[in-house]
Amino acid sequence: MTQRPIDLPDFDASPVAEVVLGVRYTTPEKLRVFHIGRYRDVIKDEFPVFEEHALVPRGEERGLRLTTGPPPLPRCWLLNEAGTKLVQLQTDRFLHNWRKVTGEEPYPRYEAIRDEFLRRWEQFLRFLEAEGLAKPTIVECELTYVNHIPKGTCWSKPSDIPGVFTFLRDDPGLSFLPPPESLACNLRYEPPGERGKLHVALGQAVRTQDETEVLRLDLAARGSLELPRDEDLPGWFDLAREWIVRGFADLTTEKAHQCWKRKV
Amino acid sequence: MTPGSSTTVSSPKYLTDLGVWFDEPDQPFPDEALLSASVQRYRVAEFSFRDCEGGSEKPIRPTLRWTEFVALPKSQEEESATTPTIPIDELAPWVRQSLPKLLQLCRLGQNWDSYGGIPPSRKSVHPIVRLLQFTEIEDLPQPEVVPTSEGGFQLEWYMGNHELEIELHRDGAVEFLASDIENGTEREGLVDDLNALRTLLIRMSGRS
Repeated sequence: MTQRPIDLPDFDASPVAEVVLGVRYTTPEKLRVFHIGRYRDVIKDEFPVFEEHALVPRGEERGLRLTTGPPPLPRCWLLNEAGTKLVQLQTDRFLHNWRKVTGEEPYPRYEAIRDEFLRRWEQFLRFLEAEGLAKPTIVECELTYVNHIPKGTCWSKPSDIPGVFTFLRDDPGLSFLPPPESLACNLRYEPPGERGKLHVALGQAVRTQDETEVLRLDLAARGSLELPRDEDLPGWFDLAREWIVRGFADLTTEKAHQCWKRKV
Repeated sequence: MTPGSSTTVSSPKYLTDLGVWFDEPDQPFPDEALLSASVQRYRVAEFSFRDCEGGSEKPIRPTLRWTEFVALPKSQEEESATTPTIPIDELAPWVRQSLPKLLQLCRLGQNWDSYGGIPPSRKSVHPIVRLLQFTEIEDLPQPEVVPTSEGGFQLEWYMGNHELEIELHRDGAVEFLASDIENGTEREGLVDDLNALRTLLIRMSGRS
């Protein structure tokens, strides 16, 4: 397993609720419904639960589309019994998620999740080969961290929220307006070397499972070119992780870091 | 026209919130093809069918189904994440105020009403919230939210002599009952589309 860089910010009580590693790919021949069924057989001992979900198109694919031919395959979720790990498969995406379900699960750390994703992806490639399908071409990589910051931890009311995020901290000198009733924002950063972009989204949400109000902070790195090639995959994810973790530390305040027990 | 036979399709006649309607067929459409249309924001695929009951074709009107209000991600970041959360920053106050009760009712157990009542599902709350959000009605009092025995929800407004009940069935159907106590009149039925739901709510909104 790859070792964690010693100078990377680290938290004992990180608010991370979900981590997703994945690739978007193209194939000369599309996956068919029976391929998904056969792939499920390959991993069903570890991922016995199967769910179908709506296909989520890429941004540029939204809007009115008239198509002929068979209907698109849904996004298929293959979950472990606890629901904490899942493989998401659709005709152009392969994603591996780790997530909290009860909220008590310990965070297995990036290195373990990354290694498992790489193992699963290799296994999926072997499956495609065994099915006589051509090797897919990766067109985009993605690493996403979803953080839940529950109300009652480092914030309790809307006026506390600027104390959590550095980009909201500066006093804008408002003398008339009350604290905002609701808050949502999106930020985008471009790491050097044209290896992708870091997307940050902050919003207020209610966690369905325990009905808790949370601030949801998503950090997602995406490589949008026809890079990386297969051999670059681990390196791309490590760079994306560094941007996400250092970005998270930059975007959140020291006060919040104390709440999450920052070690490094 | 019978199922499996060839049909025809023309350019869309008009586009609504919930689908695309076609009129005056003018070109062949192959049997094996499937026509699908998705609409931004709602991500609802609608199909325009014609029925041949009684030997004459008659259009079948689609009815509103909350299950089609798929939890579309707010941003690309959410596309691959699966943690179930419901964004609240864009909700109208009455929808936001109703959310805790909707979730709380999902804690009911089986046979909660001692008549074999089914508890509502947590998975149903997000699409229902989206449906209410898409009515774009901002100013409406918070409704009473009650469970139905079949595992759905009912939203109820009482304003003077007017009452409105919106029942969200477990299978996705949306039904309404509008009463005018003063005149002793009642209207009820399935809600045809989002505009029909919006109209019902606007009428109540105007009475608040």
